[in-house]
Amino acid sequence: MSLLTGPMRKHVNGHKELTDHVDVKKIDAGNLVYIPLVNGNAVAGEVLVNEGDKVKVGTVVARRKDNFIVPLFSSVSGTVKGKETFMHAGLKPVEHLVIENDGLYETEQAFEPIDYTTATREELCDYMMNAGIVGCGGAGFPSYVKYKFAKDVKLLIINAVECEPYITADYKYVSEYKEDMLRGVKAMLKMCEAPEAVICIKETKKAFIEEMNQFLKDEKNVNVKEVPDVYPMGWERTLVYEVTKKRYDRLPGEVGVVVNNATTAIAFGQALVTGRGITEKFVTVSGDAIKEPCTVRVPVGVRTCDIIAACGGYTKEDVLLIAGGPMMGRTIPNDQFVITPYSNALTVLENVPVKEVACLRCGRCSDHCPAGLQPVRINNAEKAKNMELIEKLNVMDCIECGMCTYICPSKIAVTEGVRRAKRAMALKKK
Amino acid sequence: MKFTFKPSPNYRNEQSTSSIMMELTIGLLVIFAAGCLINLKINGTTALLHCIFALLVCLIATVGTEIIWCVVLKKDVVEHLFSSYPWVTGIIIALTVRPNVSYFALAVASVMAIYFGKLVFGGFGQNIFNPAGVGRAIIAISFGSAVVADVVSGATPTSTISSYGWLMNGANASAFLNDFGGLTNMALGLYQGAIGETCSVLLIVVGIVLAWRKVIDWKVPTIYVSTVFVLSLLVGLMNGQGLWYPLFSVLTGGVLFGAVFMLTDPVTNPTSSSGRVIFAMGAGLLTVLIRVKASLPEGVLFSILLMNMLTPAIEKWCDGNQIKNIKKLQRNVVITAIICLVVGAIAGFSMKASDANYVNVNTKIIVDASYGENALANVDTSNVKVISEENGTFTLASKGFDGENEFKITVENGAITSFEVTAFNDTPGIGDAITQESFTSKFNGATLGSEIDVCAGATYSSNSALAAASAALASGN
Ligand code: SF4
Ligand code: SF4
Repeated sequence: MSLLTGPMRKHVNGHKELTDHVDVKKIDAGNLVYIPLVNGNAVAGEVLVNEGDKVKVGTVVARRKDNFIVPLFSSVSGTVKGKETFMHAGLKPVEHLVIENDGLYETEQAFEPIDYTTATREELCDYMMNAGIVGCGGAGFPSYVKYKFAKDVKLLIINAVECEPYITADYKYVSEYKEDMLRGVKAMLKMCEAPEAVICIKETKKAFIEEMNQFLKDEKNVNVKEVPDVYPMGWERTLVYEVTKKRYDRLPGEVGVVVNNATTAIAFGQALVTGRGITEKFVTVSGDAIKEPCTVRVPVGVRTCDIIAACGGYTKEDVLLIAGGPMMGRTIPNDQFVITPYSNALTVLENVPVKEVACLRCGRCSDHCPAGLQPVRINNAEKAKNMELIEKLNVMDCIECGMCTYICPSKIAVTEGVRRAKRAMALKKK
Repeated sequence: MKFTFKPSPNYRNEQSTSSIMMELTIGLLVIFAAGCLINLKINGTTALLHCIFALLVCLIATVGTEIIWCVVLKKDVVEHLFSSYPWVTGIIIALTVRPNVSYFALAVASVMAIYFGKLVFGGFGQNIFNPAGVGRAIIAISFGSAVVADVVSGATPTSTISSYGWLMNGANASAFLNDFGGLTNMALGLYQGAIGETCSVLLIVVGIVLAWRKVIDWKVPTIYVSTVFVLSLLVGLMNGQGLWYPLFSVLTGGVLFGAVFMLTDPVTNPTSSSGRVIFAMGAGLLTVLIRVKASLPEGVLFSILLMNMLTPAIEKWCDGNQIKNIKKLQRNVVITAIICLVVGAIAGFSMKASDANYVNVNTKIIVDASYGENALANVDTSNVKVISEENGTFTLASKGFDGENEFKITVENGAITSFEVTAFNDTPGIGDAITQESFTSKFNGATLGSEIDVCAGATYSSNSALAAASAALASGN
């Protein structure tokens, strides 16, 4: 009920026009590529190749091996040169496997392709695991986990919302690989035993919706669902609520829904026929401090500086280089980090100082927080170090979506205050 | 090349606190301009000048106080002013007073509003009370009689009805409404009142624009006004009043001004949506209660200040994850609504309509002591027009109940020799008693000192005849 909770979302200016109608630019890997030996926050425990080994596009070079199994692939063909440690898109120093590119792009099937129409549910789940299909939420959460334990699912939601400002990569990717996506979606339907799937697209993307409707006109159980152009429509909870009008406590499965990104569906759809994992990404390079904003198609492991150079370079001296979109993406203090299997954007913004004034107590942050929190109250409680109140304010429900800072008319870094409260809370819990 | 690190998000909405305050200022100035025009029309140029000077005094006093404060504390004046917005408080104070308030009172109230209402709490954003509300309350309590004479004439509708206990019966009520030009006039604002509080239609328009521009939260004024309306309707119905009563209640006494400009002050509101709903409902209840039970015309003002005091409590009441606690929030709102209705009903039940006869408050009757109090000489002739005069025979138009009646009166040597009603435009069947011989004959031989009784049941029409006679006698002398 939005009278009592506020709208909990907001239309933000997406600046998508910067790259919407610019053709996708293909960028080849340079002499060396660097495969980050990491998946989400977990380090890949097992490296399967040694210095001097020959690898091809699609060769499994390492594997995460803790609670989840996620393989990592080579994105070029060539020779393994060793390891190097430097900062990764997650802001941490990480080991990278250095591969010398021979420029031939020879491919290799890491596993046997499978026909999803005849395969069993279990076979498909295993296949998804082996293909290293990860969610694209930046955390790189392995997707097969959702399907392995899915029960009583009534609806599969394919998230093609792309609510972060500036990014158009997902939509270009989907547009380019519609068949692969449909194959992926159909296999996923089988895996979660849902009768129906909807592909959620922002209602403002009229041409894209038209294109998808045309493409899906013969499909009975896969349809397009138009959703409002608001942030954070792409967040699982907001999206599930929009589509089903239901809220869940921990996982969407509680309300009979599985949510998957469209890009994940494509990766899976491709893996089913090629027998390879994700080795190439569509990445939007945009912002007000990049010369030629566009979406690029680039192998995993290419350094950001090379991509920026291919887009004409920076136009400002002092920039914020963001891995991802400006709302949730991290600013990285150098441009040496590489594209990961779950990157989809680089946003380059001019660094303009923000002047903060006193909190107006306007409540906009509370009204728009998609998690239903009260960021202003959390900030005040954090300043007063009132842990009891912080706990009562359910601070751990914050997803760091950035809405509260975005909306604050007093330009206060509200999200940062909430993060501090979360850290304090996490410390106390220990 | 420099790569700066900043935590996410690195994207900001365009709206800023400064832009909000600027748009609010424009809204207030629009209302002020309308108030000036209204005062020029109904009270003349002096009143207009007083409006303008009142605003200037408030602005100088509020902004001046903050400048001095900055100088004393060695702060950057410009930067401070543009993050503290003292002029908003100044304009609001000026708009909530009548143009005849003394400049001294305004200056003192403005300084106190800024100093005690805001600065001592730690400045903008920290204050508990609406600063302008504090200033206005100081005027109401300490300077109630500090008015400049001859700027405006007559009482305001709210002060009038509050002296009758906020309830009047049938004839009194319609005479009262009539005195202020009826509800239409009240909607347009053409009556005596605070500079910015009368022009209801414009206030609604400005309120909608500000809400649409997201300068104010639409919920607060909407729920507040609705609560005042519903409770007044309830109280009115319980005491045999019609729809005019709730309409009158929301159109006058600063309900709309308070709703749009004072209650919405975010600093003194709860920050949560549900908290605001409760806050606005509570203010509505208090407004009606203060009006009908304490018979104070300043119900709106004190209800706002009282609710400001409750803000921290409401805030606590609505804390927590708003999605997970939705049941609790719904419950809180329902409880508040029930309390409003029950308390409103109790208040309505214990009210009693005033039996006192309604006395016309807006006419200045100049009593000539050489004649008796009820003599024709002391009849108010402000609504009489002399149309023509020929050898002592006057044709006059005099306002009756809802029309102008015309009379032909001959005066010789200070006494009336002939009295005729040539056109009757009041209610047929009631007022037309004055056209009858039994009434007109009373005027034969009447002088300025004569006392003539009115026709029972036709007070207004009779008064128009008396006034015409008085005017003819006065001119014939
Ligand atoms: S960052 Fe956290 S507190 Fe702020 S709006 Fe997003 S979820 Fe709410
Ligand atoms: S949005 Fe900013 S100014 Fe408004 S209540 Fe939240 S923190 Fe305060």
